[in-house]
Amino acid sequence: MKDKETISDGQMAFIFLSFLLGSAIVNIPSPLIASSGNAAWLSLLIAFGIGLLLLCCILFLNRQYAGKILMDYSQKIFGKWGMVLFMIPFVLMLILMLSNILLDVGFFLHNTMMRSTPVEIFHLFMIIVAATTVYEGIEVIGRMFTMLILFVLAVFFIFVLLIIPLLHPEYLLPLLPDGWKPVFHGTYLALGFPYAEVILFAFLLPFAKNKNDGKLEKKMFIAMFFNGFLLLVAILVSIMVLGPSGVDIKYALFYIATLIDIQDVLTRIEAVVAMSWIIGSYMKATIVLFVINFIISQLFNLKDDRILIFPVALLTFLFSVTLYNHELEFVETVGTVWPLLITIVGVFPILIITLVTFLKQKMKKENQLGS
Amino acid sequence: MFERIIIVLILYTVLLSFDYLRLKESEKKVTYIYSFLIVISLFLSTNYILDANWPNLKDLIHAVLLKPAEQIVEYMTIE
Repeated sequence: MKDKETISDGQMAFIFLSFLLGSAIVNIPSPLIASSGNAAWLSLLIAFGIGLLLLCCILFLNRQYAGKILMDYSQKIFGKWGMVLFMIPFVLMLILMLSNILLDVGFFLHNTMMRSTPVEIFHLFMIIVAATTVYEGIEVIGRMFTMLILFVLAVFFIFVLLIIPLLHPEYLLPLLPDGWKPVFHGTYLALGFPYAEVILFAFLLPFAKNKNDGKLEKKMFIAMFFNGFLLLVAILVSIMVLGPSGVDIKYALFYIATLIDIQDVLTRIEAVVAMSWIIGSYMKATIVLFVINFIISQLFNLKDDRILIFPVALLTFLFSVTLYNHELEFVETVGTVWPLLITIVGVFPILIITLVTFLKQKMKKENQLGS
Repeated sequence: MFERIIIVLILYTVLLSFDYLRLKESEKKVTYIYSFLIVISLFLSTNYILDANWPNLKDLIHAVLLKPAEQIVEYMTIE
């Protein structure tokens, strides 16, 4: 890896938390409740378990190939052309992912607060800010996101505290009126978004100042568990406030934020809550754009690894405004196709690389013992 | 349509004025990759301006994965 930029293990964990929490906190509760009903939290926990397994895989690879990037060791395993064949669909998938993040922010703002503004405007501002942040490099991203995620977390915790009087724990039952199938449907959704996306960190982990003392692994696991806890709280709050009617509400937490009214003094705080979610989406968009640019510049071994940031950003903006004819098409793609796409294009190759590395290491140890 | 043309023109002007000098000094392969990305973006810009609904990345992915994905979701959905 040519890039000498590094960030601390703690900053890497904060970036990881920002990435996983990002837009998930606003987007996950509603589709999960719609597919799994009251068992949405169970779906999340199963998907979280799979996400944890993926995190173990990428941390294992990072430890085995210390200082090397995913392209280097996938080339070792698949060969040069095999690696290229793995990377091309991966980059296309990331471009789709980034366009979807832009669309998501655009639709959220257009549907909830700024109905007269064309969605393109939101996409444009979001991608410009993300591209300029990527241009500044991972060190700036690390410092900046540590502060921003603290703001997002503070807003979320204040929101949860204010909503406590509206909670109805009895809405949590019945748990499984239709059996386990809906739970697995929810797991399918939560796996595609956000837990399978953990694999992107296979490209980012080499930027951490990892001294092989286990601190990076520990901090990444803390970030992962904290993210699982926050999403669990978001889902439980959505179920306990909205009950059965939660199925029909698109942005459940946003709607719940509109219900907060403390003595007519503290009211209409949904704008602040929405602001924190937009910051979350911006952080996620930045990380995805960083990874796209990083992969392309490493694939072509470019000396100037920042020259392609703006054309890639332009491309994703144009994709975001031309991909779908209607919002329903976007919802269908994210809910149906996206989990399968990321599993085939991203998760399976990482699992194969992990398995091959593990077997190689085991054989090496056995040979050493034999001789 | 007029607004869209204005947006696209502003974007290309800003992009090329920002990158022009760096492109001139950079390696040849950078120019090729950059031009390739610009060609794709021109296709998408025309699609955007004309609202033409030309084939795109989503159609490619749907052609391969939509049916199996729908089958998976259908299997897990209870009417």
